[in-house]
Amino acid sequence: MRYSKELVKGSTHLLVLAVLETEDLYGYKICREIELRSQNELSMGEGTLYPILHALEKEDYVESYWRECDGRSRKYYHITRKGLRHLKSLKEERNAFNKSIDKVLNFG
Amino acid sequence: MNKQEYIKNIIKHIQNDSMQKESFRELSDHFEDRKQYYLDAGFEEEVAEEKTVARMGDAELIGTKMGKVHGRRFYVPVLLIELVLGLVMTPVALFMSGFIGEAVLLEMKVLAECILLLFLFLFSYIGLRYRYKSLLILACIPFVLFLTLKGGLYLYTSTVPFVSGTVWETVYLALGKVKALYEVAARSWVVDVSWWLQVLSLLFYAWIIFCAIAGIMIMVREDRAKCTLKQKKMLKLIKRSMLGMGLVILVSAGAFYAVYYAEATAARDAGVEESSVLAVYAKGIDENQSLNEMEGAYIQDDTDSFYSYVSDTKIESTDTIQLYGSGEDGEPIRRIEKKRFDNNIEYYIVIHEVNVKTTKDYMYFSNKGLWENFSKDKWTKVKKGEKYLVAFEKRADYPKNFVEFTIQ
Repeated sequence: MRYSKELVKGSTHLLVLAVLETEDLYGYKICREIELRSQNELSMGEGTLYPILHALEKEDYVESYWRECDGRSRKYYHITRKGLRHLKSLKEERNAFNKSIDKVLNFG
Repeated sequence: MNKQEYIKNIIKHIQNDSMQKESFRELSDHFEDRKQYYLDAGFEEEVAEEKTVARMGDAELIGTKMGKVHGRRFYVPVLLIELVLGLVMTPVALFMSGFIGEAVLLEMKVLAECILLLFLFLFSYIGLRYRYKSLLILACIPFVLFLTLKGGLYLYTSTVPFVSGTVWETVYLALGKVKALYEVAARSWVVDVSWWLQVLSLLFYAWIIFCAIAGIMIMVREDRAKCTLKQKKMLKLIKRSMLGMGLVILVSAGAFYAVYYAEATAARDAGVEESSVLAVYAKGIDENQSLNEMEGAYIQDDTDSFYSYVSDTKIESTDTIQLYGSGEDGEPIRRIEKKRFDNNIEYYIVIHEVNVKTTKDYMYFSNKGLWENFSKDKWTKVKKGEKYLVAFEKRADYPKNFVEFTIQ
C-alpha cells in the first residue's frame, strides 16, 4: 500500500531521525533504508530529503561529516543527543496522535 | 534535463557560497547512486538519468526549501566568539587595568568602544563569511606590509580612540599580566584571590585567541564542507566552554569590583594623612621634550634614601624610557620602571613612600600597577605605623585618581 505524499510529509523528520538512530548514513542510504524498512510502502521525493536533513542539522538534531565509502567521499549524518531526545518526543507525539485519530474513527 | 542542470537549478537558491558547493557535491552523489540503481536495473543511461530526475523531485521546489534553510543566517559559533570578546572581555580587560570606576565618563567610553567593537566584528564577519573574502585578504596584505615597514601598527593606531583603548590596551595588558604574575609568584607563593582572578582572566585571553584562530581556520577552510565530526564537536565544546567561562569571569569581575568600590569608598570616608611623598614625574607631550624638563626628587627617611633618574636624554613621543633608582648607601642601581609615552597623553609616574597612620586596626589602600610587593589593583592589608613603599600611576586625563585618596 502506498501512502499519500501529504501523509508522509508530516512524518519525514520522524522517519529520518528514526533511521539515523541505529547508524550514521548518507542521503541516498537514508532513502533506501526508509524504503527497506517500510517494504517499499513509504517513499518520498528524494530531493526533498536534503532540505530536511539540512534543517535538522541547523537545529542540531543531526550533525554531518564527510567519510570515504566505496572509494567515494560521502556526507554522513549522525544523530545527536538532542536529536535523540527530539526523536523520543516525536514518537510520543505520534503515538498520542494515532490514539486520538483512532478515538475519532472508532467513536461509538 | 541532465544532472548538471538539475542540480544547478536547486543550488542557485542557496546564497551561502560554501553551502552551495557542498550541496552540489551531496546532491551529485545522490544522483549518481540513484542513476546507478536504474542502470543496474537494465535501463539505458538516458532513461536512467530521466528517471533519477523524476525520482528526486521538482528542482525549483527543492531549491526554494534549501534556500530557506540556508538563508543569510549568522554562523553562530563565530558570532558568539565575537560577542563574548566584545561584551565580556573589553570591560574585564579595562577593569583589570583599573580603569573602571575611576570616572563615569570612562564607563561611557567603554560602552562606546564595545559598540564599535561589535560593529567592526560584525562587518568583518559578514565580509569574511560570505563575500569579498579574497578581496579583503588582498587589501590587508599591502596595508599590513606598509605599516610594518613604517614602524608597526602601534605607531599609527595608538592614538585612535577605539584601537588604542581596546586593542592595544588588551594586548599589552595580557603581556604585562604574565610578567606581573610571574614576579609575584617568584617572590611568594602566598597569593590571594585577585591574583587568581588575574590568572583566570589570562586563561580567558588564551582561550579567546584559540577560539578566534579556530573560528577563522574553519571559515577559511569553507567549514562545513570539510569539517570532520570531531572538529564540529570541538567547536561545540569551545562554544559552550566560552559561554561558561565568560559567565564566571563576568560574575567574578562584578563581585570583585563591588568589593573594590565599597572599600575605596570606606577608605575615602575614613580620611587620610600622608607623611612623605614623591619621587619622579615624567611628561611625554612633546616629541622633543628634554630630560631637563622632567622633574626628579628623592625620598628620604631615617635609614635610606632613594633617588631616581631617567636614562634617556630625549623623550620621543612613543619612546620607552627607563627609570632607575639607587640607594645612597651604596645600594646597586636597579631598574624601577619602564614606561611608554604616547602622543597627547600625559603620564605621571610617582613613587610614594607613605607613612600609614591608621585609626583602625588596618586599612586598605589601592595601588596601580604591580610594584614591589603590591599587585595591580590589589588592596593590601597594612598595620598601624608601618611604612610601605607604594607606586601610583596617574594619568592626567583621568581627573579622579587614587593618588589623592587618603589613609588614616
